[in-house]
Amino acid sequence: MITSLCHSVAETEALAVEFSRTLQSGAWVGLIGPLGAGKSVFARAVGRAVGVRGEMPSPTYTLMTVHTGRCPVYHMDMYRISSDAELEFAGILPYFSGPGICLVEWAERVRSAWPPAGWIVTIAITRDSDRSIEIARFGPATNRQDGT
Amino acid sequence: MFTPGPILGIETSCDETAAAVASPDGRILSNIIFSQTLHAAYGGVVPELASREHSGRLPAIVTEALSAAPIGWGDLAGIAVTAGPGLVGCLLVGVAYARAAARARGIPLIGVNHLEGHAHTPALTDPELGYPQLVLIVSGGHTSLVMVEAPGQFQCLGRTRDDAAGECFDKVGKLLGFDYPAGPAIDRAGEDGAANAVAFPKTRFEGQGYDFSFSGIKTAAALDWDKRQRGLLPAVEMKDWVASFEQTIVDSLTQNLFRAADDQSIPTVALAGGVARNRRLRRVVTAWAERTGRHAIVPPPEWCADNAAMIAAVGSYRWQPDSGDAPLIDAVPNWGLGEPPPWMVTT
Repeated sequence: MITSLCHSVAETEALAVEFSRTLQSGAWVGLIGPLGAGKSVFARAVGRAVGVRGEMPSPTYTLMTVHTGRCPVYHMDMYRISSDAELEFAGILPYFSGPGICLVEWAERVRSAWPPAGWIVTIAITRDSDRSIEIARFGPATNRQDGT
Repeated sequence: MFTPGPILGIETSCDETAAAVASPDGRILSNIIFSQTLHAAYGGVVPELASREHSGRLPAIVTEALSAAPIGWGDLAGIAVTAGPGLVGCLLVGVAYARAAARARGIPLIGVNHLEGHAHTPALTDPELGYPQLVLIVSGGHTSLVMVEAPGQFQCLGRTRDDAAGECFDKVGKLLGFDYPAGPAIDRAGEDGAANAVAFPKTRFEGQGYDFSFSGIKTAAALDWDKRQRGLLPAVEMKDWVASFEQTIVDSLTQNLFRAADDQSIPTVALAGGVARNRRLRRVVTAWAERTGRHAIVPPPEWCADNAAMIAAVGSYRWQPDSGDAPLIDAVPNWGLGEPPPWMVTT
């Protein structure tokens, strides 16, 4: 687990770019933090770093937007999801364990649907534009994002 | 624009299950939306999951739309269905139903873009006003500024780069303790408030474009609210805080709308989409039009939310006789306004 302090949007983006180097197709990244913490900023920076071009508008309403980078990138938002049954109904669950990179905002809302292994990025607002960002891996080390 | 008979419209792209019938000249004969009919029975609360269970409700909603028109299946000249953009699972319910019904009746099927429905709503509201029209489509999922040159001819001038305006209302409203979606509660809470009580930052992009951004406002509002709760900023009355926040969103929306109308010399501006029900937004647009001698179309609130009337109306101007080898329409979750649908693209 690594915790970083970022003092601007640009620093958050730089951290996300650095982090994205570890991601391969099959990686699952949950993003946790209060409204305005910068989950979408982080997710967009990861998306750009893995080759997504064009706008990456908020997936809150549509639950998921599909992008193409060096592999498929699924930008998801669990803000409107209140149960695992809804997740299944919305047809999102298969993407959690498929190829491509999943960037899942408000991941704590679907805790029991997390795949066996992945990353959790927790962002806390420490002051106006200051953020504390904790990046932690969960699940066995021989996991999907290692590509093994 | 006449079809040989009425057109049935079906909309299931998100939370509403809706069906409507348009007359051969595109007027609306019936307009049924599930959430309206059952809200009362459920005491105003429909669980989110239940609200998406289109498949169980659609047949009854269609039957109701037909009998309210009143027409029978045999009278229909075609079926129009929302094919995108939207949630794929939801879209598929409407598309599968419409495909089966059109096949069974032997009538043409028209795949309609949901945003085209919204963009056509001002023309449906005020059929006398001509084109071009500048339509601001604002909802929980969309924020787009669209030039409508003629029915079915669009140019998208701007769109949000991050959050939709309605999403910003909903999320900040939830922080304040309002139920999601929070747009109507915000509208009421800010009604008599002083809109200049709190200064929120607005995002403007360099250059001459008309894109929008609302995530910066959302973050600033969340931080400001938190500080006032913790006594780090002076207390402000709820109604004043909400009015100021609301005004910031409305200003961000309308400054692009008005600037585009000036730049392009367009005489008619219009609102569409769920957020077009916001009374502050309606007031600002109406007042600006009066002051500048332009026409403003603010559709009745029930036509702003997702509905099938707009889909049926688009179906009636897009209707074509069945050629016998019509391409099979399908759900297109990311279908952008003005883009040809995949089934029309020949490779």
